[in-house]
Amino acid sequence: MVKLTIDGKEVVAREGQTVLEAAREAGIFIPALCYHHEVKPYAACRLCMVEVTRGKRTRFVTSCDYKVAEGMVVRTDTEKVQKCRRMVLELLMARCPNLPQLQELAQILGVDRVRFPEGDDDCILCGLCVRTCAEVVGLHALGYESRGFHRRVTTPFDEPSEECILCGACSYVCPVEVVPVVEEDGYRVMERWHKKSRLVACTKCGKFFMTEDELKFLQEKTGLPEERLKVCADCR
Amino acid sequence: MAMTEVVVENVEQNVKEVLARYGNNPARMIEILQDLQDIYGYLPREVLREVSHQTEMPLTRVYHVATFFKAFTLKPRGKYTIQVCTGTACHVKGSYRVLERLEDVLGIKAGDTTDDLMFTLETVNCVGACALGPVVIVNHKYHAYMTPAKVESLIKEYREQ
Ligand code: FES
Ligand code: FES
Repeated sequence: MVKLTIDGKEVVAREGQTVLEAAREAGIFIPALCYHHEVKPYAACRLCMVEVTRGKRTRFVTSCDYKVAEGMVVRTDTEKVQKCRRMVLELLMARCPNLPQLQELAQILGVDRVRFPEGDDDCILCGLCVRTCAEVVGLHALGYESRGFHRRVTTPFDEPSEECILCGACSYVCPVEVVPVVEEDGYRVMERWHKKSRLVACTKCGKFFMTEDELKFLQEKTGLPEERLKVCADCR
Repeated sequence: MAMTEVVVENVEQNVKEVLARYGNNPARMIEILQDLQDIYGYLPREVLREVSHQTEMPLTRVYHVATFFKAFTLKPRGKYTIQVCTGTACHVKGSYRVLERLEDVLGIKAGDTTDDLMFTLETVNCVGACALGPVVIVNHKYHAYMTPAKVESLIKEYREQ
């Protein structure tokens, strides 16, 4: 057990927890876009900045990858923290002017203008899709391209990835919901990754419930016979 | 102009040899890709795929390294690389007009390669020869005091070589 203070409140956290997790459990709001409890922290969005005092030293850290420590004093509500968050959000909004999720945050954080030249991207480069694909699914269908302004998340060469099984995990974790998955005419389609795969119907109820690529992946992973895998969760 | 097909040969063997030079250590990816680019003049897709295959490093990672550094190019390059200096001194002396003329004559934009794979056009920022500006470098050969009027004969000269 680790005792610390967050915004004047005594908080008891578990060893190894991050400041963000401890704050959330204590009901203290910290905006965070690139954090997800299923994958390793990445500290890319910079929205979760807080002020941390240990001993005589106070500094700014990203709370999503900063571990709690005994006696630590955290402030999430100072003018400096607020200003920092607003600036980060303003920059994200300049990059991606049309994301409702960012506009919602802007209301909460009090960002009412964007002073930077507007881009036309829709990806905030949080990397959650890339990390989920690699760490949770165990595949490497998605990655980064280039750097700086030109950095993008994509499949290698912008081609359909051989590894992608269209499981949709990337779509599920995307905090700004720009990775749609569509099912039509017996296919599951992910336009953003230029890929589609034929859907497999449950042998019991006849409902489509996974893609052929997923089936192949599961067969290799589990070694179970096809007949067993081709029964959907409801009919099992 | 017909698109010239590039043949990429001996991929498996070349990648194997280059990897062996670096003890098959994927942490030396930059050097590995540099050497392979020396062989092919650029980094063809099949080469990057093979590197990923032989090192067991995900293709996404190899691709990220290959696109991260400006020194790497994933597109085939021309036989001649034309670099137009757009540094301050050359710019003041009108290098952008030379560049425009080159883009017109070659029918490509800076950063691109002609379909016949003869020329790749690039800009660079100051090559340390400001007194000779505007400077245009073709495969390491410096051409001083360039003007838009001289562009056509310069291109012709290299085409005929
Ligand atoms: S949530 Fe911490 S940097 Fe994005
Ligand atoms: S600006 Fe062109 S050589 Fe210096």
